[in-house]
Amino acid sequence: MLTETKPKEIKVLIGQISLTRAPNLLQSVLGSCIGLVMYDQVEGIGGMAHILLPSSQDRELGNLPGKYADRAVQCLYAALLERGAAKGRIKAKIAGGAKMFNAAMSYRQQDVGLSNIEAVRKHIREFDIPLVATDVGGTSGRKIEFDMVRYQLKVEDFAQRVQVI
Amino acid sequence: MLNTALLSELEIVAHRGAENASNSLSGFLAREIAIEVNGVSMAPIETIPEQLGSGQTLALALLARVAGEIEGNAVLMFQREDALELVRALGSNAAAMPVEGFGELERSMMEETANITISSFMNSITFHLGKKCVPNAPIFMMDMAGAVLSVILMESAEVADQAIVFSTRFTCSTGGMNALFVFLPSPSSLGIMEEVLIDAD
Repeated sequence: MLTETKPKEIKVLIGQISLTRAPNLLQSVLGSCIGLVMYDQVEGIGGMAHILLPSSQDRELGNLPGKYADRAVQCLYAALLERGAAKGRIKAKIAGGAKMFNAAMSYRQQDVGLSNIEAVRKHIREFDIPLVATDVGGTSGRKIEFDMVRYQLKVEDFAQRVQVI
Repeated sequence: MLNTALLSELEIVAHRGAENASNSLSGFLAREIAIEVNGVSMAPIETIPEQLGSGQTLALALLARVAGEIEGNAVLMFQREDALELVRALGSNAAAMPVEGFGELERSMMEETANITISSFMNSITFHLGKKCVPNAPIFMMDMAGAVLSVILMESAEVADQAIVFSTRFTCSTGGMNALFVFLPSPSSLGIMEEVLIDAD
């Protein structure tokens, strides 16, 4: 008898990195943060990092390997390779990096969303990973869900406008 | 890391702040506003948005940067129906209006409500700790609660995996207008608070 496996919904919280295989779903809610997805379709493995800040500035990582863009890209990539993904097959998608408030609100007087987008793009390039889809910037938060069967990233804003990338 | 005794003392300070804020809100709205839950906790950064409510729920939030000797970020958050109830109570004709259609007047009403709440709370902190903390004008945001809260976590997250959170839920005795107030002091301000409380012992 065939049994259908119900997809498990895995929430990726701030600073976390989660890896999974089909048919599971990786989910996150983002503001200025970036949701970085990397996957190898042949091996059937993928992962998501919920990146909060652009640079670790050599700080220790603690319990949150996905907190800083520089370390998150490195950690997620290494974790996928460790679990059987192949260098030339790994692809990336990103969403998030909204400008959630004006500069006056920021303790650093900067657009953290934009800094996050630039940092993630830069570090993905360093590893020669193709960035195949993006939905970044804007001024609204996003709920994202990565489907490990279709390798599609569903992006939804607070007004429930949905797009799949 | 804060010890239990210091955390308890901070809770007392936070409770006085919440009382001051609820009194000011009651006066402003001409309705009895009570403190439903009030607390101070040290929590892992990644758990804070979920701990304070569902990450993807639509929130109408007013954010204010707090400057001075104790600095940080404060936010007053409402869910959709509570925000509508609030602006109606303040005289808006928004009876049939969805929150997505809030105009300048409704935003201004919410900003003023946040200004009163946040300023009252911070005034109380200044009074009880003897350290100046002055909130800037609140900024209106409408978005998912998790997205809003991640913004105010950034400063703490940059240097630590944990943050101290002051949180208060206000409730209106006649129904509606529930609101969540959150203050996250900067990591350096937490040290200043600790020093004040230790010196006072």
